[in-house]
Amino acid sequence: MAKRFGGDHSPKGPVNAPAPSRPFAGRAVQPSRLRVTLIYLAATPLLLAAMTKMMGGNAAAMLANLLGFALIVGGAGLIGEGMKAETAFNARKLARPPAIPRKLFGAIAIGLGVGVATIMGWGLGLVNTAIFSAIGAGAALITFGMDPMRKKGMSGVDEFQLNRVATVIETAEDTVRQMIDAAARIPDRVLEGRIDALAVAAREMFRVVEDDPRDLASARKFMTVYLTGARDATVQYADLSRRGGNAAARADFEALIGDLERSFEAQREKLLLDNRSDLNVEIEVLRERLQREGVNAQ
Amino acid sequence: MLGKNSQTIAYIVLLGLIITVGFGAWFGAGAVDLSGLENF
Repeated sequence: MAKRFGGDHSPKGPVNAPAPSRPFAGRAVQPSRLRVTLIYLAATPLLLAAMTKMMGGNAAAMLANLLGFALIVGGAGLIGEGMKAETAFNARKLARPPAIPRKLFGAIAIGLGVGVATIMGWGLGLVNTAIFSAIGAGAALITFGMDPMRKKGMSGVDEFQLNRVATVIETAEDTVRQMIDAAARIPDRVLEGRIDALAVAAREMFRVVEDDPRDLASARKFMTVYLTGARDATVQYADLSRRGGNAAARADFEALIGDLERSFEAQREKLLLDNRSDLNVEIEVLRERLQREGVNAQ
Repeated sequence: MLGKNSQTIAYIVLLGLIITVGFGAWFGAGAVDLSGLENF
């Protein structure tokens, strides 16, 4: 029989250590960055052009080419950031649109970059420049699409309450990210895996709260106090393990992370149960009313 | 939302345009030439 290999120093710990049940749960698919990278590559002739103009002693044309290059590369970078923001937006059920429409601004920057390079570097006329510029910005917009502009999952419910939920969840997501960043500094794959599992449990709870913002009241302590505590403990443990670590501290920390993960999961279950009992009440009330009003199918 | 095909075509156009403008600027004259200022 095949047997999984594992020892104390294996990445996933000894064979009998509990393996994470769903290692990919809650992870969003990251969009490919290839298209953005190829734009960087396509813009490099502008750099060579700048060098040629520099050698030819034409400082203004050199600056124009450099400016065009910077605008195109900056625009492509902005589009890449916009794609990341869009993934985060899509992963959530309740989300506000990104504050800056990065993909739109990136497309405009690419159009401007093409324009600057055409009119001042290449030396074409205004009409040609305008057409090239418009094609550049338009093609970038068609290729990468627009940014999400509308709020998501926020209709029909109290706006104030939803904004509050969105703010709390955004802060909590930041805390989770900081915790994962700190965990990356701990030279211990097992602990890192445990912290990943805690992050998954926390994010699953966020999704439940997004589904039913009334859950915020009972989940708030988890999303602020406990999560912040977990992040601070992770940062401190990461610092300690950099300085050599300590077996007792490691055991305590692992126990804490395990407890937190379990309590996050338990709280999530509880929230789901609450939702179900709400549903039951709703169904009962409606059925009673139907009976009372004699709408029952005879 | 536009189809995948039009996105791909737009992307090829975009890359082609950027490369063309780059080479145009490389071999082109350049509109602004400040060498005339040297005569002042």
